[in-house]
This record gives sequence, C-alpha cells and structure tokens, in this order.
Amino acid sequence: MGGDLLSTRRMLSGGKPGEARAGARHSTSAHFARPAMMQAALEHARAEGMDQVVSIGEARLFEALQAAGNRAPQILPIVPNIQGFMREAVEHGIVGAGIQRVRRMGLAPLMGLGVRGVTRLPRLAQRDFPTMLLCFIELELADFRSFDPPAIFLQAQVTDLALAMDNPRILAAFVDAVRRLSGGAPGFMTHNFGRLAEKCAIWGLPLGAAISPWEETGAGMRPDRTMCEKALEETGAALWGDRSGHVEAPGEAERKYLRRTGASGFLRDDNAALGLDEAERLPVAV
Amino acid sequence: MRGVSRNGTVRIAIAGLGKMGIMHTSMIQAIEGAEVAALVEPSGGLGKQVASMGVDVKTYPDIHTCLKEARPDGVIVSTPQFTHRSLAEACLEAGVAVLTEKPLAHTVEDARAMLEAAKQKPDVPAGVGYMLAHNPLFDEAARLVREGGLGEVKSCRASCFLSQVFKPSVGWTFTKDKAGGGVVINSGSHLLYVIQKIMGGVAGVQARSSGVHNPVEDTFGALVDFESGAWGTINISWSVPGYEFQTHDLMIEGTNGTIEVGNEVLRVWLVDERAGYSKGWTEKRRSETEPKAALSLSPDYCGDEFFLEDQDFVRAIAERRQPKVGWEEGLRVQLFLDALYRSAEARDYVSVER
Repeated sequence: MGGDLLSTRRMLSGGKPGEARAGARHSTSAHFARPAMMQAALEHARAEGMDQVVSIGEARLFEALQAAGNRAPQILPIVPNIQGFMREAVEHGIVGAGIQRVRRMGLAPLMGLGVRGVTRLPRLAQRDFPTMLLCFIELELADFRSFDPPAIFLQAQVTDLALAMDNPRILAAFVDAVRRLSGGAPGFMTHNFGRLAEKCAIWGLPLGAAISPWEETGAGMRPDRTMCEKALEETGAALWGDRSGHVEAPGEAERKYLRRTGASGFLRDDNAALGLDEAERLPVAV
Repeated sequence: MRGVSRNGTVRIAIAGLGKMGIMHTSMIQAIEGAEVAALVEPSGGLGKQVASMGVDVKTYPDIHTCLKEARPDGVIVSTPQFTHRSLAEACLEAGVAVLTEKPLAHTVEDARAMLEAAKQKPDVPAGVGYMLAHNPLFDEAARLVREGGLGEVKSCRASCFLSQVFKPSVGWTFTKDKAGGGVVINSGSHLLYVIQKIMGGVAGVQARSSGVHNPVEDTFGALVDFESGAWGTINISWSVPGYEFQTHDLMIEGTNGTIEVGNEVLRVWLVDERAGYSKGWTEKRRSETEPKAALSLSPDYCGDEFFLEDQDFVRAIAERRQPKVGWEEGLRVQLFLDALYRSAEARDYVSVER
C-alpha cells in the first residue's frame, strides 16, 4: 500500500465538519444519494491514482463498487460501523442498541461464527463489551470477504475508547479477528497516534498501519506533533494523514511534510479527490 | 468541602452510564491526576458493560451509598435531567463537588432550587456541562463583541442542526415531563448558552415550534430581543438531513463587520482594523487553536471540549475553585429555555424572567 487513499465518509454522511454551510452539506448529500455519482467518484479517484478506498460497509457503496468493477479502487474496510450504532443508542441506550443489534443478527449468524459464536453467548448475556464488539466486527468482516481486502482498519472511536480506558482487550480482539477471518493486515484509525504507538508497544500489539491527523501545523496530532513524529519514526508504521475538514486538495508544502516525516500518503475526501465540481452538484434550495 | 485524596489524585464517581456517562468515564480515565472512583447506575447490566470496557471499580445502585462508601472527591451526573436535582443536592449535602450534564435541570423550579443549595455551600465546586464554553473560538467571538471589534452589534442568526429524529421515537429524551421538551432543551441548549455568552442577556422572545414526528418539538424557531437592543433569530432542528454531527453556528452583524463562528471555524470580516484583527477576512480553525485536549474520542464533535470540561472540573476540585461554567450560568440558560417554551405554547411574545 502506498500513495493517497480515498475516504467515502463525505459520500456516505453527506457532509464534513469543514462544510459549515447548510447548502454545501445538503448539496453533497443529495449528490451522492445517487449510486451513479458514487460510482463516478470511485472511478475518478482510481483514475487519479488512488488505488484504494477506505470505508465502512454500506449497501450503496457495495452497489457502486460492483458497478464500477475493475475501474474502482480496492476497498480497505473500517469496522465496526459505529455511527449507525450510536444513532440507535440515542433512542435505546448503549446496552439497548447493542442488544437490538445482536437480536437482529439472529441466532443463525451467531452460529455461523462457529464454535466461537456459541461459546460467546454467556459473555454476550453478561453484556461483555469486547465480546459484543468482536461479534459486530466479525459479522461486518463477512460483508467484505469477497473483496479480499489487504488491510482492515478499526474505527477511530473504538480505538480511542480502548486507549482512554487503557484496555488492551478491545484492540487485541480486533487484531485476532482480522488475522483469523481475513488475509488482510490489521490497522487502526485514531485521533491519538502518539498514545496508540506507546500502548501498542506496551501491550505487544502490532502497529503496521494507521490513519491519523498529520499535518505540519500539528492540527489534530495528539498528544502533540513532536510525539507523533517520534512515534512514527520508532514504529515504522505505514501512516496516512487524515485530512478531514479540508475542502482543497493537499498542496506541495503538505506533500513535503509528508515525505519528510516518512508518512505514506493522505486520506482524502476533498473536492478534487471526489471529482466534485461545484457546478456539477445538484441545485438544492436551502 | 471534602479534600483531594492523600496521594493527590482526584477521585471521580460517574452517575449514569448512558452514552454521556461512558464518555465521561473514559475522559476521567485519561486525565492525568484523576481516576474513576466508582460508578452509580441502578441497572446492573450497564455497570457490567462499562466495567468490561476496562473500568475496574464498584458500581453502586444509588448515589447515597456511593457517597458514603466510595467517598469520591467529585461526581459527574450524566443521568436524564429530571434526576439532576436530587443527585446534585445529595452531593452538595455531603460536601462533594458536582458537575451535571446539560441542561442544569428539566424545569426552572429545579434549577433555582439547585442554585440555592449551591449558594449554601460556596466552597463546593458545582458546574454544568455546557462544553462549548471550552471551545476557544466562541471565547474569541465573545471577546471581539465585548471589545467593540464589530462596532455596534445589530443582530445575530443562530442555528443548531442534527440528523437524528426521522420517526416517532421512544425514551425519556422524547418525553416532556422528563426531558422538559424536545430538541431545544436536549440539543439546542448548548446554542442558547453560546448566544448569551456572545450577545449578552435576553430580554424577550417570540417563538414557534412543531413536533414533526413526536409530541415534543422536533423543529423550532424564534425571534430574540437582547438587553443590548440587538435582535436575533434562532433555528433548531434534529430532523434535517446532512448533519451527522450536531452543529452550532452563529453569524453576528455589527457596524464594523461580521463574525461567523461554529464548532470548527471562526471567520471574521471587518470594515476597519480593530481588536487585534486586520481589515477584511481572518479565519481560525479549532484544530489549530489552543487549548487542545491531550486525548480526544471524537474531534468531529467537540472531543477536545469534553476532555477540557472534565479536566476543568478535576482542576477545580484540586484548586478549590468553581468550574468554568457554574450553576448561575446554568440557570440563565434555563430561564432562556423557559421563555422560549412559554412563547411557543402561547404563540405570543414573552419576557425572560429574572
């Protein structure tokens, strides 16, 4: 893996924090509601040299990937789909949302996870969070199996929750699931790369690939830029700088910083990456 | 007030283990000089789940037993707002610092009673979780207005949007008796805090609301008169698409320019150089502005602010001072909320109570 990665976040959520104006958000949302537009963005990114796309699993993404065929970038999954889970948690609470999701799986898919699935039932009944998370991850990985992804990333909030809670079980469960169920390498999305590197070393976990904020201003690099740069140098991990919030494509100064610090590329969802021209967007009255 | 533990670590109990309770638990775990001392949750299942996330402390079924046995230095109350008063008063009674989630309460009556109780214990830190107080962009907007950067302020437009409610929903959040209302009190109260911080006191309001999917309001609008003579509009909804994360946006117009400020960006446009800003456009991004959090769970939605809020509470206990947002400010937001709800119900102009 190398070079820039495409992010589907803006396509699937219909907006990003940098798009403060309602018109821009609604316009993006309406634009990518059409599967053909998502397919076009995937093909555009591939033509621009982004050979891989990082995404949570959603039906319209799979549809667009299939339609694009070999003109689409290769998918690198993000698991679990925590945004959907948190939406349910507003109404049902954290435990309630978890139970609802396990119930929706039904017994058959749990049995489909094999002996492990059955042996987990007592822990699920005890509402053991790492076990519940593991089930979600394994079931979501199954959706990506046919794409044979070379790497799978743990969603940032889960990575960062494990770091905040100082709990190696959560990250270890993810690494174990990826190794057992796919030929891909485990990677981590995080907003706290310095702490992730430190904890992975202590916990004996591999840090082969990561996606985290990375720019010369130090914006979003936690605990600070110096610690993050040192951590990357020491671990030798493949790291992509998350440029969430930027509407413009990365400039030469940003590229220079990337090269100087040994990072692999950017995670991009800027207009140029998506082939999104203001003039081409659907007109939406706001 | 109860002192900090002998080894200097501030020991915090978390009451209520929903989404916000888990967030506060993880933040306290990550703050240097603080530790989670206990959890309070009547539902045993929630306690077990949070314990399995990596918090090896006892879960108590009620606040009184927790205060007696665990003897925390402070309690973060992250339960539904209709329970805030009883939990907070129990903490104050025991001389234990307390930070309630926003809003301070579900009614003005409860909020007033809480403030009165806090006044009886002036040495006990008592704060409320309006986390946008810890976003320096809103501080800077308030400074610009206060120091005359905008000249004479004439008006503001404020909005809070979220894509969350698109069908009839269940739970206390959607029950007037328990939540105090719908989107305005549950989500929009952050915006109301920020409006008063920047624009000053509110004199009166003319509001309208509708339940799009629920008996409580899902969408809300109001015209606001400020004590300064300026006026403003407010739009709040949790039933619009395109807002994965809750937004808080303000545009303020004055005789020397405009300010646009939100969670992520501050944009200032001035006619003439003033208050440290040059003529024309200036832009500041939150991610490039201090203070930042040592650890963030969700920078896309105020991750830094949640950390800084809890860190401020921990430091307030250690330094024996009040938190950045106290209950007087909490009551001010509650009175603003109350006027908005009374106006929407009467479909008439309403003055804000003092």
